[in-house]
Amino acid sequence: MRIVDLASALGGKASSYRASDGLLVEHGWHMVVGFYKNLPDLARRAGVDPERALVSLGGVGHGYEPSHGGIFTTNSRGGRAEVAANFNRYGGLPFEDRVNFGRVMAEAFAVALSGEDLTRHDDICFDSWAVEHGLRRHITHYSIFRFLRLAYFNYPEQMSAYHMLETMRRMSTSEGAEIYVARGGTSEVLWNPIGDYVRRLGAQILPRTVVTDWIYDGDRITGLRIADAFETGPVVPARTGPRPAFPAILGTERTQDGFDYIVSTVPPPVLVAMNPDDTRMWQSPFFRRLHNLRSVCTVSLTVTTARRVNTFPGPVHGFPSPLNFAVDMKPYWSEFASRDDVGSVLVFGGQETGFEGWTDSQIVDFTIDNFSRVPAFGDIRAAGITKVEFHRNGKPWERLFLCEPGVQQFRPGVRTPFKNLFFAGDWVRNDVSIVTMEGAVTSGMEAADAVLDAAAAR
Amino acid sequence: MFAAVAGLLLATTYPPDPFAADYQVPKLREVGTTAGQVRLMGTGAVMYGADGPLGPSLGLGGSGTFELMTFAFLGFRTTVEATVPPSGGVPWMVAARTGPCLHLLPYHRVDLSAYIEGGAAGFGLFGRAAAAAPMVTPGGSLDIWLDPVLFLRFDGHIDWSVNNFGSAGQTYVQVVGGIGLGVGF
Repeated sequence: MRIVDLASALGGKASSYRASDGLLVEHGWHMVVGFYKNLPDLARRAGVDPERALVSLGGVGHGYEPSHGGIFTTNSRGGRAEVAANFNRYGGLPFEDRVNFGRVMAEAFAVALSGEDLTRHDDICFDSWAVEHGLRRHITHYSIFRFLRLAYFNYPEQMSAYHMLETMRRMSTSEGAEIYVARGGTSEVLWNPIGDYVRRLGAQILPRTVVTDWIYDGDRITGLRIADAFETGPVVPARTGPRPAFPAILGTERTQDGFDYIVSTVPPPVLVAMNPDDTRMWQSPFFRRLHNLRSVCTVSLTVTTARRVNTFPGPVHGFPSPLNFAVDMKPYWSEFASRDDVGSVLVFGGQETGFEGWTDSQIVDFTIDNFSRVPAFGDIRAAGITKVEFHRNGKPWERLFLCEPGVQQFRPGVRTPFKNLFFAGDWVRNDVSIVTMEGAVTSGMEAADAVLDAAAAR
Repeated sequence: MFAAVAGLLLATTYPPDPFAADYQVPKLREVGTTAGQVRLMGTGAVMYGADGPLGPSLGLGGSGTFELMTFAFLGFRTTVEATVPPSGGVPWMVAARTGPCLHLLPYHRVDLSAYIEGGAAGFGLFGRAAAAAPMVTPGGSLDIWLDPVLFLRFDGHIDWSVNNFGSAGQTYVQVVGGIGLGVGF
């Protein structure tokens, strides 16, 4: 088995890097949710104990409600009745809105758990779904409702009601809704041990190698056009000018062949740029629909302070975009937890839409101002900023799949018209099928099963 | 991008937030019946009718109704109704009924609805001639929403039953008109 990887760090859009000064830099903030099963199982097979590698955020989340000016806590622990009771005490909504919102969400959970095919709700956004089910329209403006879109990096875009209901189905228990984070860089804690595991199984990993074209004969892929890749990732200085489809180094192009099967994890924005002159392939029904899969540029900001700011454990969300949530990772990242010279390590996340024309400094200052003016969060500048790292994940291979309304009809499964080519990734339909690391891992397992089926049938 | 920390201490200016309006919660102004709405209503009523040979006479009553909307036009409601002893020998009555309700003007400040309920009623329950019997109640309502939660309700219905109070198989018919308040979430 040969693994061709574009980057030098394993993990794709969930990878982590080290800056020249040793600072941990994540592609973006990542979480592992309690309903994940295949990812923890894969980690265990690779010798990683999830109990030690991951740490819980305590079941709490905190929503900033601009209309109220305060930050309000929700808690997913204690079972459904206690979660509902906790929500009834959520002070960010007036009583009548809380009753209406609670009633609609109870109905949403009832639909999610009914066993019906939830994909039938994919054609509309969850805002419309909720209003159709009696939600008062103004409630869609509260942070606690907008959070549903923020969590998938969809805001300001809408998100498919199917994706929301499927997520609610999987997070309908306290255990399933618990949020965990890695105790260090995600690549270091999870992906590198898994990479070592597959190496021990005999795999060869080719880092910094980019695939640019399929070579096929009839219904089989017979070769790949590949090239050496420029260093990619958030610690590489941003280039100005257009964002190329492939970070290929000219003059290193070559053909890779001598294989039986391919599992491709190439994301849609890169995939649709392959074989650009192959009109026959791109006009076929299967490949043509891939052009409808959209993606977004996520943005990530890490601010380290000398003194502690933001005393909330877990995520604080509901702030203005583009960086609308923050987590103080100091207590969770082992390398910072016991350091007295570090007060907080604030990791912010969101997506770029609407702010494409803003400079990096403008976004950073805007974000720091937005959070700092909320007394309950605290003044970030006054806490003594010691480091700032900001990056945009806007290149085609960095972008995040957008689970917008109507997207399901365009998502392929793991099988393709080519008998020996299989797709995997969070954007591919699979048993989990929502845009998560668990979905990506599950699609990979399904693709591997499809390879075994195809091999057995030969 | 590793920004110069010093530069951050002097906040730069930036363009207006393109989504500022999204974070403002519009004033609550939606009124009317909606899909999925939970409604609680209470009415006081005046009734006029007879029970077989007893009456006709005027009486007073009251009812409480719980209604759960499915889609915006169809609700299912359950009502508990009671009368105070009217004059003319007509027995006082308590009833529990349930049934569908068709709303003609959801999402409007003024809503018209028609319903039919079926259930059981007790007549003169603590007397020697106490009787229980099925009851059917067709009716209609006019709701006027006063604010996004509270509405004024005008209700008219007919209570119809065949019971054995006094003599076997006597027909109980009351025309009921009521006014009350309701809340919807």
